[in-house]
Amino acid sequence: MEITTKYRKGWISLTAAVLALGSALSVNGQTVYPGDTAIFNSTGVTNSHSFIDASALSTTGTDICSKINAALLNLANSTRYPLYNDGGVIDARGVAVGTSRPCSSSPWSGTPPSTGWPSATILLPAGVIAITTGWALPSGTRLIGEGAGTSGASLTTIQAQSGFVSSNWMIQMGSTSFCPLPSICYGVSIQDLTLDGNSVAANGILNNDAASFSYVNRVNLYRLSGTGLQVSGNASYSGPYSEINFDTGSIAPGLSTLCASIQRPTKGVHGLRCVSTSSVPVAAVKLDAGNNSLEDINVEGFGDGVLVGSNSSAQGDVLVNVSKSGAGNVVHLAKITGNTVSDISIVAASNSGNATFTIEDDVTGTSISDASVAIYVLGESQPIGSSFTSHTRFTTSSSQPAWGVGPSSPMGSCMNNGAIFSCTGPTTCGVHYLYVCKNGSWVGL
Amino acid sequence: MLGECNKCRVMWVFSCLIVAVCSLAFPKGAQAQCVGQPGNNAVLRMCSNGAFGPTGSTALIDASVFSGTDICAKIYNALQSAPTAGAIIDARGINPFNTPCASGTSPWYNGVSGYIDKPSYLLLPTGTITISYTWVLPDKTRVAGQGASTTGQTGTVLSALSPFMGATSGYPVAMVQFGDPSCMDGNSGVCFDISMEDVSLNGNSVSGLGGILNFNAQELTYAKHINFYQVAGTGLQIDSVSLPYQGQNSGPYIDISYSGGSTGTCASITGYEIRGIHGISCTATGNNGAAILLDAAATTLEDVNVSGFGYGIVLGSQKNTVTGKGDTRALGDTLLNISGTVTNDLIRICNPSVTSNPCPGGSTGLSPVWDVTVLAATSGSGTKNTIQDDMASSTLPNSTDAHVAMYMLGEYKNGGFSRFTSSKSYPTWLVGSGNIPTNTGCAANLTGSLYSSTASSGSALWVCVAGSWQVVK
Repeated sequence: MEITTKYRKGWISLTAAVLALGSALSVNGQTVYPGDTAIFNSTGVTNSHSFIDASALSTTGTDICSKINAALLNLANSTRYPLYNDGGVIDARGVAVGTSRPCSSSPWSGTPPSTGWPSATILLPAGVIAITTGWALPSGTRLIGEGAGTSGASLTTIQAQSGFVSSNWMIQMGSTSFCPLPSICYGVSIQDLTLDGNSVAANGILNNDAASFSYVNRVNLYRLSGTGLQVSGNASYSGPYSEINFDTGSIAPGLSTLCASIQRPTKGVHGLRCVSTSSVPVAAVKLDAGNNSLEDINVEGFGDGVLVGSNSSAQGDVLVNVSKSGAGNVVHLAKITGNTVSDISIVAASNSGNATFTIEDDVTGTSISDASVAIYVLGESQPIGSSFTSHTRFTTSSSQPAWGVGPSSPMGSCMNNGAIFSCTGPTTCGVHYLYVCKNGSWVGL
Repeated sequence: MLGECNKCRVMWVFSCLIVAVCSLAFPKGAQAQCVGQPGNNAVLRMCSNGAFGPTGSTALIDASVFSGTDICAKIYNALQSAPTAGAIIDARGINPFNTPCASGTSPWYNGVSGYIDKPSYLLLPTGTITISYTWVLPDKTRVAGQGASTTGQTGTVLSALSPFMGATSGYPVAMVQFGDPSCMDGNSGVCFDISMEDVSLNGNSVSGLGGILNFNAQELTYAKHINFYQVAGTGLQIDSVSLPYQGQNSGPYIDISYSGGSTGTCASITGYEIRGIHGISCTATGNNGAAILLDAAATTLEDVNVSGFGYGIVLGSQKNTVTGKGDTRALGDTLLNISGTVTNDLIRICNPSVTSNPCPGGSTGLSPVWDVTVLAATSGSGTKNTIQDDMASSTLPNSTDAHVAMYMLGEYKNGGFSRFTSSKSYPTWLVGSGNIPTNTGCAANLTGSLYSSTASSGSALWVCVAGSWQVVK
């Protein structure tokens, strides 16, 4: 179809007017909202409300936060923009960003709409989004960047600038002001971007208030001296938290630098790499809750890789494929008075180089330095009379009482008292088919 | 509005200038000659007459400009215009305004002519889309909403309207169906690459109505961030007893929630292996049934939380061996991080020869359940048993085994099962640093348990026999 000059002029005028007025217009029977996208219909160019292009909104501030804020207010304004449904997609990919355009406030700053902040999928542009205050995300907010990229070379980077209060979180998933108790926020997610503390902000993502459908996916936590990710408070069964990278980069980590702190049951942490330039921090991951799965965890630097139960009880957790290099333990089960650590299953723990112990279990007083351990299961404590306490425990570690199997009688000395060995050879086992390691020697039973 | 601020006035003048400049740039004698099809994105390009003008981009098809009295009709007409190879259909600009999709229609079916079987990536808007007919997603169809929410308050909601009509004879009626018996990707006889994400399905408690049904789609088929709300049937059903093959290798199914009333099942997996359910919360009120029925081989259930049901995960309660199609029973399954509060058993393993609710047993032709690994199971207060294993006749009650680190059921041999558990309720393996003094008692339930001493002297191995620890060596 041809675009007539008349139509073209009409469209341009219409767009200009909407840009200027920031309100809906009816042109040729078509209702046009600010930031509408242009599409074709059967007669020519028209508009669609499929998303709000935030770059087209006129705002007092020129930074991306002001643009997003304006778009959010439009989404919630059912009087002026009734075709929105108190929610939608905000495309901020066309908004210019950079350190010269820092956000002076959060996109959710100011007085919320009377119906509360709308749910919104917000598409962020490539580049540096400079912030001086943290962002608290209300229910139904999905923050999507163009990609996390590698440390220091990201596509979408939210970067703290001078003036950011160091102890604040760069992003909070939900908040009690958005979701006053007993209600709990939900549907808050962050994906495909980097949070760069820039040696200014210490802490990355806090989820203390968002539960169902609240997750983090493909996020890089960069140059943070505090905690990268914390799940706590009302965030039970949030997640999954997947494909997350934490890298202290050029900053000097401190004792309390932490890749992740898991304080509530979740839908799992799956795919987490934690890199610290030194082993000064006590641990990369602190697991202080039950009913979690930590899977595909790789740690470089830090003290311990995964420290379980140092701040609170942890019962009923499973750790799968955990590896670490550098000083410190790959997995450390803490024994702290008042905290119960039990029923922990560890499958595939690996010392990728120079880790102190692959598994350090303070509960049973066990230290395993094997390069890799297929399975280590700590069950529960069992008093043995009034003498002492034992634990149910299964491990494949060759340095602990384990169950070996072979076609011939075990030869020579043995290291682990209490280990047993099943001999399977029909003619090579002699008179014994089960052996126990006793005082350094295999003894047939 | 113009009087509100000087800035607006300036903007208005500036905009008028833009209009003037544009008019100069595109004088009447140099009309742009670009074209676009309905729904095309308008992008600027140099047209045939050398002037810039809007032209249609086929990057996506905006469904909002198509005719139709409801969103399903608009999407249907947009799909009609899409190339055979497929397209992105953007329906985000349509406010459903609670106008139900017409009875007997879906985005792929207008109730009259045949299904539109074109690949597409369909973007749904924020809001509630009311439907009364199953959405059968064709081969290579991806549907993405604007987020799931706990009770369908925000994001994208598909809401069921009663009476609800299924699309495929002989199939359970569900709100969404991944493919149907006509699936024919190549000559495979099945569909591939069907998915749905970031959507709430509100069943409105319509009796028997399910959420997502996958009887026909295999590799690259998945569901992610889906809430089944007030679904009275089965939230997520992958294959069935009579059709246990076509959903194999589908998944993963990630971040799923189900909240129902006194009836319904959170998820049912039958047949061959799938790529797992990773993250599922099942909540009900006074539902005496099972949250999850697992009757498939080589399947992982991970990060599962259940509350308000009679049972959490039940393995082997449905007959699922079909002649000539191999063994598709619950065999070689892995359960990781299972938690919840239920009335009876958080995890139940059925035995074909044991009839005890929810296991039908008897002559129903059930297959035995073998090779099941459970790591990290936790039951809440009020749950009868964390694990009830009818195969090995094991009961791990909540009272003594609220947490179970490991329970592995192996296979039957010589009158018993290979089985490892960290539970103290059954024969297990204890390790300690001391030697057990003589005449030290052990609990009856530990009979047969081993104790290994890591001390460098003294005995090394003990066994619990008839209430006391006996030195083995």
